[in-house]
Amino acid sequence: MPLRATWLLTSVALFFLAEASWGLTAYPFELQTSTELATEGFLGLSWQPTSGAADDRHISLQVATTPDFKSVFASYNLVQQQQVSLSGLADGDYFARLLDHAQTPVSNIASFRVQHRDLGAAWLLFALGAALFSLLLGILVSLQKRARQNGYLNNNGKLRDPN
Amino acid sequence: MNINPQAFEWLVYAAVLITCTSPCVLVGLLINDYLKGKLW
Amino acid sequence: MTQIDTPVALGILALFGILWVSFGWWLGRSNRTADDFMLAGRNVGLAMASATAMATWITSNTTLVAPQLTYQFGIWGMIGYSMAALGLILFAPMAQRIKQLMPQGYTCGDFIRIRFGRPAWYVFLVVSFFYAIGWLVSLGMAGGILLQALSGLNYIVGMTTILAVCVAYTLFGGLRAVIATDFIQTLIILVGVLVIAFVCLRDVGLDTIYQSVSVQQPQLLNLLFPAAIMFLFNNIFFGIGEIFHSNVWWSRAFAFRAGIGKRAYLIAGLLWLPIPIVTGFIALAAPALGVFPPSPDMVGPLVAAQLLGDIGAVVVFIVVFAALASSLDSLLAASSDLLTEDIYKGLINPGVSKQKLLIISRRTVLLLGVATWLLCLPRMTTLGALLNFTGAFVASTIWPITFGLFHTRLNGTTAALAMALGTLCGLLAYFQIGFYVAALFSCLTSFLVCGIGLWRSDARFEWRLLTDMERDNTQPGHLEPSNEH
Repeated sequence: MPLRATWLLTSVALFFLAEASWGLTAYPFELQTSTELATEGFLGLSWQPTSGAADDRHISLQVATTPDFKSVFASYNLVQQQQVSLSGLADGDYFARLLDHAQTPVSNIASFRVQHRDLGAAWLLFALGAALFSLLLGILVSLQKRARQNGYLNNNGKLRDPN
Repeated sequence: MNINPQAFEWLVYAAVLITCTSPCVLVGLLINDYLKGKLW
Repeated sequence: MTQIDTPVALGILALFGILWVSFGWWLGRSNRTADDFMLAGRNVGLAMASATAMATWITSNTTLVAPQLTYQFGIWGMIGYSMAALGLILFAPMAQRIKQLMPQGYTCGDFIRIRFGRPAWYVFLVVSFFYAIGWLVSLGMAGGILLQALSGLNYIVGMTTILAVCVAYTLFGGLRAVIATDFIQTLIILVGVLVIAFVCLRDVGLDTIYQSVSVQQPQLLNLLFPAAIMFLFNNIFFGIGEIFHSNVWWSRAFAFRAGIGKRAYLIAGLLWLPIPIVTGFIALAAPALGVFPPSPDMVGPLVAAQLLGDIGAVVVFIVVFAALASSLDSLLAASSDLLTEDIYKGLINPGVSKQKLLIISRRTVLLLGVATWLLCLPRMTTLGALLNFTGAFVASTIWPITFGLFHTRLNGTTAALAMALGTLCGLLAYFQIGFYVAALFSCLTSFLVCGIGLWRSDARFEWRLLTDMERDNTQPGHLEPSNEH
């Protein structure tokens, strides 16, 4: 999977970049993702101040599809939050960072990949579920019919005369 | 394949409409039971 | 986020608390026997029956998790959640059958014990209590957490108040109080969610919602969203499993007047069906309103508060309190029945009199309340997550119960194996793939086991054993439940 390899390389490079820049300019916030690979298109991002004096009142979270943030996918204005839940993302690699009110980056860049599950497998499970459900429905209906016909209880729920 | 905007609207409006009728159905049944003395 | 003042929140809690408790006391003043207390005199009418089934199925989950699932799985999440109504609808014919087969029955445990024997009964009790504790604790914790988020009220104070109120009115009024409060709570919930939906439609509009979601959360509108497609039938089986096995629904089948169980569950299911869509679609308004929830379960309350300001927070507060109470009380009552009838009478003291059983039943409600409170106290999120596992447990009971109620050939060993192996495979799928397939795999395994069992067995169960269960036990001092209320 060449795409996967590229992504891995990018992540590794980014990791070292982030680590390197960490030593030079410590950002006021450390941004983390709840997962690196989101197979359902949703994930959580959280951040902690690295020093006690960080100002978290008006922060915006910038999410882009390129590590240089030239193609910004969305910006979220967050007031007094330390985490956010994103959802409904399409397949692709995403990069996120926090900006302060002057649009200066105040966190490391966190990256994650969205890769939805295989649609074929999903349909297979869907078909399995549909078949099992139809079976349940059919069996319930036929069992009920049979119980009414030859059960020892009649329609009013009274015991039939055993003789 | 996105859901059609009209289908989306129809889905939500239908749900809201049915939900609007349910309190009426329940209260109607309650009055009926009460008048027949079959509440409990 | 807009918050209501803590004194206002306390005021609302006190007002509804006093209302429910005094109502429960008023309804319970004529309870004389265990039948009155545990099964509301076995003569509940259609209106109350429909409303209680509906209200109990509207848990805090319907008001909180429906928006959450919509936020995570989009259109399919919303529709999938509403399909949980199929549990109620499919239970309709079973409710009728249960009442016919066991006119003197008390709990689903009674059925399993008589129908399948002890080994299956033990497995079933494990499944049942695991589920009940998971649900009780998640409700108790949800109450505390939500009240804290909405009003800044201390977690322990909020959780304790909700639990105490529910325990108190269940204790005073028994199932009759549970059912009557459910009726009023249903109306409150319906009006509340409709107000929020109307304001959302008026202020944001479906066009804007559709546009903003298609830009910011494109997958949510996608009908070919893989995880959501997997989730759909799983949720259906989860819902069916929850209802088929749980004594919450069985005790209602016993309590409803003969001949109305089927209609009541059908009406409840059909009226419940659209509610997750009404509570769910507002989650899709989040990007249009600039709401970015810190965690997905907060999206519903946050959007409501954004739409309605202070009033929104109050409406959400009241709706969630009603939804929590309507489920918590039912669960307390049904689980204490299970403990009283199956554990105390079944295992500890089989010869207990009906009068003594009433006392034990009340004590069990109190005990269960205290146990739930103790489990909720440390606020361990891992405990709340228990409920996620239960899909694997409950879905394994669907087939044994279906065949058990209608088919004479399913034997106890098969039923026990179906439940145990189903649960196991469900849990395996949970950890291997995700929470959204656990119930499906559990149900499938249990079906295969039941199929093999039916094919190989030549047992014939005598239905009369179920019908006759209470005849020998009836105590001379037992008062017939009166119908004149």
